[in-house]
Amino acid sequence: MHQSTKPHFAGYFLAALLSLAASTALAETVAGPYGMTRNGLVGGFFGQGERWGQGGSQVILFAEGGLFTHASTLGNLGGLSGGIQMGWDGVPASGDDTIGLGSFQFDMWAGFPVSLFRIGDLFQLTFEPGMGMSYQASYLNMKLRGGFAVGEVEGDLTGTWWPGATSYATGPDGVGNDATSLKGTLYIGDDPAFFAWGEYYSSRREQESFDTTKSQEYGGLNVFGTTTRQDFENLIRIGLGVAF
Amino acid sequence: MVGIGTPWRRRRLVLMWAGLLMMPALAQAQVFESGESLLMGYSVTGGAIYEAGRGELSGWRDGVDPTPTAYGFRYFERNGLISGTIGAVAVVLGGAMAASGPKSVETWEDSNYRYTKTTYYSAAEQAAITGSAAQSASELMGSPNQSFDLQIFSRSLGGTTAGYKANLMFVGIPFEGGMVDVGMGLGKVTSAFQDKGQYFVSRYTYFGMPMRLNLVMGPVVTYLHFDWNWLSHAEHKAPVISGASKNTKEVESDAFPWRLGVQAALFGRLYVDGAATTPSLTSGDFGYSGSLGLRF
Repeated sequence: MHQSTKPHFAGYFLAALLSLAASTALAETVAGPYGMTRNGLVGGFFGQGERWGQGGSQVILFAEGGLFTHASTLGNLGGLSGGIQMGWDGVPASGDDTIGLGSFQFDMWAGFPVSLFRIGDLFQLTFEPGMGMSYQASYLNMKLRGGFAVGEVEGDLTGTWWPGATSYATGPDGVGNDATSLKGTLYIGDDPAFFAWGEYYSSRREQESFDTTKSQEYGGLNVFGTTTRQDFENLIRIGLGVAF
Repeated sequence: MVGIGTPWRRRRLVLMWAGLLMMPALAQAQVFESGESLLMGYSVTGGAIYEAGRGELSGWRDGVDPTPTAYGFRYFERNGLISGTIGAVAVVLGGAMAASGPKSVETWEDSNYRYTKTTYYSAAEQAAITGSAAQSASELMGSPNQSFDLQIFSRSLGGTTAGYKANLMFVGIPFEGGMVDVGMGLGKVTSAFQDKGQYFVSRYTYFGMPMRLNLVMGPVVTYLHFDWNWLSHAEHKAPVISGASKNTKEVESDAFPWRLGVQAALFGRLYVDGAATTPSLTSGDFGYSGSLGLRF
């Protein structure tokens, strides 16, 4: 009888990342990068939209967290964030060779939030460059988040850009996603709070070509390639869960 | 006539608005922040970078006369956590790969059969490997004087260059009046420019160990920076003549670049950095670079 004892790489990687996150969480917390004070969100979202013009829906569970660990000499705050999401993706992906996991979707990311501007307990503007790896691509991204508090209600509005030039699809060479998202979140209650968010996510499939017949710019040599983009995904998502 | 959509006009508008937004802060702040605070404190800077002359991006080895110009975006973090976090993720990834991979693989043949015996680490050995990786990762993340410098060049901003360069300084060794930074760096920058009907393409690839000596001098920090580019130790590739009309010269810039510069923080929020550069100490060639940004 054959018994496989080959360990699973993903399990070790996840366990090590979690221990790393736990050790980071022991650092002194000054404020939270979500809303005005929040450090973490656990929940799920429902998405509805289309991919390559074909409609469908998705149900995804997610957890993300962040904390400011450093205070600059000028009073700004900097820190670390990260998250993971996975679930069922029923938006059709037929004919797309960068999606090879059927209906299973995953995404994990890390970011470095920096508070640019803050007005007391009323408003804070945060910039967050980050990186990640999903079932479609590895990527860099940038987030700009405006958090606010009005009376008992706390919220934030987040714009995210995944530049196509920094996206490397898991499929063919020279392919990536140029994506943008706008997400609005409201937090109600305290310790823990419930949150609800709505997001519009749009992605274009970007192809970098080095076909020398398409350019005569440098004596017939196309040094920088030619970028073509096609509409790929458009999704509306609604998320619910608990914030800490 | 200069139209509203020209790059120069757009740049002027951006600079004007940035100046107006900064006016209240500038009015209250002192002119210079101390160099000590600039070097030893935590700060993040985002802004613009410009490079020109016969520096690391030029075709200095092959006697190319015209030189490229590079405009880009720079993100610079001092005494933060970006480099340590990226390094920690890499260490964790390496540890996980090592723990899940085979300990040994033996292959032998016997008559008409070939046998392979693969031995994996025991549970205790796997725990030791991942535990050691996690410990190293925590130490990297907690390194107090790490810094991170990302430069992204784009032709959309003007100039002749596109690409990126990143230096992750994992370790900063402070001493009285200064600090030594050591880390790892990588980059890939391509320039294409022309002169009198001739076209030139210069490619610079970088993977190696950056080293920087920082010295506080009153309100400024002077630095001597060396990128020990391991890729430049390979044999220099001869220029290639290419293109439809055979009028394009492609060259590799195998540089070991040095830069001697000065940086300062003005009015608290404004960061300025200027440097003289050379692609190699023995080249006799010089270029320059400058960057301007907002500090947070």
